[in-house]
Amino acid sequence: MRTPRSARLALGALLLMTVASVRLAAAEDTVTIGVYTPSAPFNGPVARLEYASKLAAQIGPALGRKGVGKAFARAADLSAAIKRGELEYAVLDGPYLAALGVPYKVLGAAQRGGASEVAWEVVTTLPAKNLADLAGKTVVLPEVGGKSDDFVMRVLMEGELPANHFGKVIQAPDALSALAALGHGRAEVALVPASLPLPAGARRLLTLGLVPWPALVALPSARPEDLDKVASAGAKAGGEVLSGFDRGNADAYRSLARRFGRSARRGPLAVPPQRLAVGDLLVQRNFTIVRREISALLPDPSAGD
Amino acid sequence: MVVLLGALALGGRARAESAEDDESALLVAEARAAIGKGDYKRAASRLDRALVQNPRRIDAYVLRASVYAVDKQYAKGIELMQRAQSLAPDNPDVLSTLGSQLMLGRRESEGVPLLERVGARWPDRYQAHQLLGLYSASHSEWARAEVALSAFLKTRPRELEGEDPGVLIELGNATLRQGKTAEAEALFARALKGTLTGANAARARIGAAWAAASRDCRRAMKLLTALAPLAERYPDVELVRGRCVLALGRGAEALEISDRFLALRPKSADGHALRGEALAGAGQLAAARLAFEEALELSPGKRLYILKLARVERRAGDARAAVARLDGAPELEAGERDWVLEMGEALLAAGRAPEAAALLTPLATRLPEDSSVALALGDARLTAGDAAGAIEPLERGWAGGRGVDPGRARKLLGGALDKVAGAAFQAGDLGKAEALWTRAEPLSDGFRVARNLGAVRLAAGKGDPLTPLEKAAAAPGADVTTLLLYGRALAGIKHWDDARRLLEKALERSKGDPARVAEAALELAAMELEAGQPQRATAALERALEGKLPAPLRARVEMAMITASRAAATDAMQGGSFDRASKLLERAEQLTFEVPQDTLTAVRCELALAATGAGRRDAALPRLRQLARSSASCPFPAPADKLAVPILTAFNEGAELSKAQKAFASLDGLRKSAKGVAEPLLDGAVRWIALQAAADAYQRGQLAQVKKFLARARKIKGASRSQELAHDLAVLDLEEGRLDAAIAALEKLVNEVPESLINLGLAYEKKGQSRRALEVWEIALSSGRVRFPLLKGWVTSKQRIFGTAGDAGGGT
Repeated sequence: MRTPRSARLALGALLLMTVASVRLAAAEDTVTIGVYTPSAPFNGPVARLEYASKLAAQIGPALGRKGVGKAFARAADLSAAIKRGELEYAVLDGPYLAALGVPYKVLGAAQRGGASEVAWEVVTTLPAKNLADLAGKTVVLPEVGGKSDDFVMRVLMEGELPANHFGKVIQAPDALSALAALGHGRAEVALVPASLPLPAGARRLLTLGLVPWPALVALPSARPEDLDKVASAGAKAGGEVLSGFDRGNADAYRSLARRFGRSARRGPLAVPPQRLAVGDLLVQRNFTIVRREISALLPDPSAGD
Repeated sequence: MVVLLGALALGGRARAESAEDDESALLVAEARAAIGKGDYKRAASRLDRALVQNPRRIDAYVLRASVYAVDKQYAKGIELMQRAQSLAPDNPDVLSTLGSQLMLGRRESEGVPLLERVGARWPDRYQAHQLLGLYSASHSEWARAEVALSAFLKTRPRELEGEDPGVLIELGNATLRQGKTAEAEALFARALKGTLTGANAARARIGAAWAAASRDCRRAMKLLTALAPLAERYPDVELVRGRCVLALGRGAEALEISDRFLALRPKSADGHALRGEALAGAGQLAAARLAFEEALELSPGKRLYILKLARVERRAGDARAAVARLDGAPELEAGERDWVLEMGEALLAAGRAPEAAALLTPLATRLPEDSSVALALGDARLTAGDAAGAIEPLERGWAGGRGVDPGRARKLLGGALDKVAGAAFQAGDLGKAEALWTRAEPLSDGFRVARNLGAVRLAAGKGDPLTPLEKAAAAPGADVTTLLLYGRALAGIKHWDDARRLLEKALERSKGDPARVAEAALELAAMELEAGQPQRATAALERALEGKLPAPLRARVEMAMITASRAAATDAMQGGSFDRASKLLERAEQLTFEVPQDTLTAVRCELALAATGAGRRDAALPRLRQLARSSASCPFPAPADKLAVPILTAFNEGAELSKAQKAFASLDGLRKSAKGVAEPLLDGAVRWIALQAAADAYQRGQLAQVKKFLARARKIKGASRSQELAHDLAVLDLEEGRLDAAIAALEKLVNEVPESLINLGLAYEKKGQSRRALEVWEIALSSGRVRFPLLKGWVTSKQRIFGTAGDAGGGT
C-alpha cells in the first residue's frame, strides 16, 4: 500500500526533526574541530584524520565535552562545514587563512620542529640556475584555496617577478602530493615547505620567505568563554607532524595576509633638514660677562684669603 | 828732662847786657855745664848767684826753675817764675816755663790756659804743646790731646826726635779714642818704627792691635794673637781679642776667652761685659743679663754696660726693664746717640711706639746717615700706625750700614710700603699704590704684595701685571684671589689655555665655599666667552649654580649663565646644531625669573629659532605665541626683528600637512616686507614646508598634491640649487613613467641626497632591471646614510629571489 503524500511529508519532517534534535543533542555534548592543512606534510588523509581526532580528544576534555575531529581535503568542503556551523574550531593552513584575510580569531600557531614558521622552497627537476630559467614552466604547490596566483607571485616570489613569469600554476591536495606531482612530471617546479623529502631527480633551487604553519582558530560558532581553555589545550597538544600551538604568534597570519596585497613600492621624497638661514640673523653678536672690579676682588689688600 | 832741655835752649837766647851781666853770664854758663853733667846742685848754686848778680837775667830764672823741677820743688819753681813773669810778662820763655811749672805742680787750672796761650801765640813752643797734649791725654780730653801732641811733633827740635815714639803712642791713643781708627793705626805703626822698649813697646803694639781691631777684627787677630804672651801683664789684650773673636762670630771662643780673662781679672767689669756679649750672641739671654748686671755692679753707671744690659733685657722680652734701666741711667750728653737709640728700641719693644718715635725723630734728623737710628724710627712710626711716615726712615735704614739687621730693615720697609700702598689702593690712587708696591715687592716674601702689585697694574691697565702675579701664584700659600687675578691677566693677553688652567684651579680650590666658587666661575666664564668657548662658560657657571648663594650673587651668576647660554646657542646655531642650541636656551629660560624684559624676550626669540631649527615644534610654538601676544621685537637685524616670530610660527605650523596651506598663506602675506635678512628665512620656511608637505602627500599617494607643493618650492629664489627639490622632481618623473629622465637625475644626486639611491632602485625595478635595483639598494643599505625602514625588507626579498647583487645567478 502506498503511503499517502501527506503522510510521507509528515514522516520526512519528523525524521528531519529527529535528526536535528539528535544533532542538537550531539552538539551540546561534543566539540568538533576541523583540520584543513594542505601545506603540512601529513602522509595522506588518514594521517590527517588521525591528527584531527587526536587534537579533538585533547581539546574536548578541556571544555568538559567530547572532542570530535574532522579532516578536510578541499577548501570548499571546509568552507561549507563552517557555514553550516558544524565546526567550532579548526586548524587552518596559513596561506589559506591569510588568503581569506584572517577572518577568524587565531588561538595559536602550530609548531613543527620548534618553529611556528617555515621557509618555503623552490624545488625543480630542471637544470635551472635561477628563477629566470624557470620562466614559462608549470608550478605546483599545496592547495591554498583561492588566490593561489597571488600566493605564488606576491607572497612567495615577493612581487619580484612579473605576474606571467611561470607558464601555469597548479595545486595539489597537499605538500607531499605536490612533490609527487613534480616527480611524476606533471609540473617542473614545486613550491613547498622546506625539508620535505624530494622525489628522485628533484633538487632544491632556492629558499623563499617564511610562511607560518597552520593556525588553531575559533570559528563563529565557538563559545567566547571557551577560547582560553581551547588555546591552553591547543598549546599542549602533541603530534608527529604538528605539535602544540604557540599562543603568541597570531600576528604572523595578518602579516602574511598583507603580503597577498602588496601594493606598488614607493620610496621617500627628500626633505631637507629643517635648516634655518640663521647666519645673517645672528651676526655681530657680542656676549660678555662683566668681570668684578678688582677693588671688589681685593677689598683688603693686606689680607690673604 | 824735656823741661830742662827746653830751658837750656831757652836760656841760650837770653843775653847779658852789663858787667853784672858778664858775671852772671859766666855763672849761667857754669850752671849749664853742670846741668849737662847732671850736677844739679852746682847748677842750682851758680844760678842762685847769677840771679843775685843780675835779678833781671831771665835765662837764669828759666834754668833755675828747671832745676827746681828736677828736684820736684815745683812750688819754688812757680814762685821764681812768677817773679820772672813780673819782670817780663810777655816773654814766651817765661810764660812757657811758668806754665810747665804750674802743670808739674798740679796747678793745671792755671797752667793749662797759660800754655794754651803760649801755644797759640808762639806755635813753635813745642814744650807747651807737649805738656798740654800729655795732660789732655791723661784726662781723656782726646781731641785737645790730639791737637797738642800733633803740634809738638811738628815743632819739636831734632834733638827731641827720640821723644817721638812715646808721643806717637799718646797721639795714637787720643785719635783711637776719638774713633779715628785709621789714623790711630798709622800713628801706632809710626811709633813701632822707632826705638821702643819695655812698656812703650808693649803699649805701641797694643795700640796698633786696638786700632786694627777697631777697623777689622779679621786683620787684627794676627796682631792680637801675637800679643798673647803679654796677656798676663796686659790682660786687656785678651779682652780685645775676645771682642774681636766675638765680632768675628766665634761666640763660643769669645766666651772661653772671657772666662779666661775673668780668671785673671775676676773683678773686671769689661770681662763680665765681654762674657755678657758672648752669652747674648749665643742667645743665652738670661745668663747674659746676669753677666752685664755683674759688670754694672763693678762699674756702676758705665754707659756702655747700661746700654748693653738694656739691650739684653729688651731681647729677653723684658722691654719694661730695659726702659726703666735706660731711664734711670746717669744723664749723658743730651741726645747721645747710643742711649737714644737703645731707649727708642726699648720703648718700641715695650709697646710704646709713639714715644719711641717722638724720641728717635730728633736724633734721626741730627744723624741722617745713621741707618740704625733711621731703622728704629721707621719701626716705631710703623708700629704707631704711621706707615707713611715710616717709609723715609726705613729707606735710610734699608740703605744699610753697619749694625743694621738687613732682614729686619727689609721686612719693615716692605711692610710700610705695602700698608701705604694698600691705603692708596683703597682710596683709588692707583698710581701711588703701584709705585709703592713696585718698591715693596722685592722686599716682601710670600704672595701677597706681588699679588697686590699685579692687581693694581691690572686695575690701572698700565705696566706689567703678569710678572708679579706669576710670582705670587707660584709662592706657597697663594690664595684664590691670586689665581683669579693671574688668570685675568693671562686672559688679557689671550693666553687662554694658561688662563683656563689657573681659573679652574681657583674653582677647584674654592670648593666648599659657594660664594668663592661663584666668583671663580664668573671669572672663568668671562674668560671663556672672550676665548670663544661659550659652552665651557656655561659648564663653569653650572657649577656655581649648584651652591647656595646670597641673592645678589645668585642674580649675577644667573645673568652670566643666560649670557653664556645665548652665546653658546648662537655658536651652535651657526654650526647647524639647533638641538643643542635649544637645550642651552631652555636652560637659560629657567633662570629668567627676574631678569629685564628685553633679556627674557631675547632668550625666547632665540629659543624659538633654535627649536624651529631642531624640528621641535612643541618647544617653538608656545614661545612664538607668547612673543606674538606681546608683539615682541626680537634681537635680530631688522626687519627680522619683527618678522621672525610670524615666519617661524608659519614654519612650525606648516610642518603638518593639513596646515601647510595656511602656513603658505601666512608667509605669502609677509613676502613684501621680508627684505634683507628676513628674506632667506622666509624663503627657507616656504621651501621646507613645501617639500615636507610634498613628502607627506607622497606617502599618502596624493600625487596631485605632491605636484602642487613641488611647484611652489620651485618658485623660491635659489630653488635650482636645492638638491632635495631636484630629487623630488625626479621622483615625480619616476611616478609618471619618465624612467630614463628620473634615472639620469637621480644618478647625479646619489652623493648628496641619500634618498636618491632608494628611488633610483625603484626606477631600475620599474624598468625590469631587478638586479641593478638590488645593487643600488645594497649600496644604500651599506652606506648607512639612508633611513628608510622598508628598504631592508626590499633588499632581503630581492636577495632571496635573485641572490645578492654580486652573485652570478639570480635572474635579471
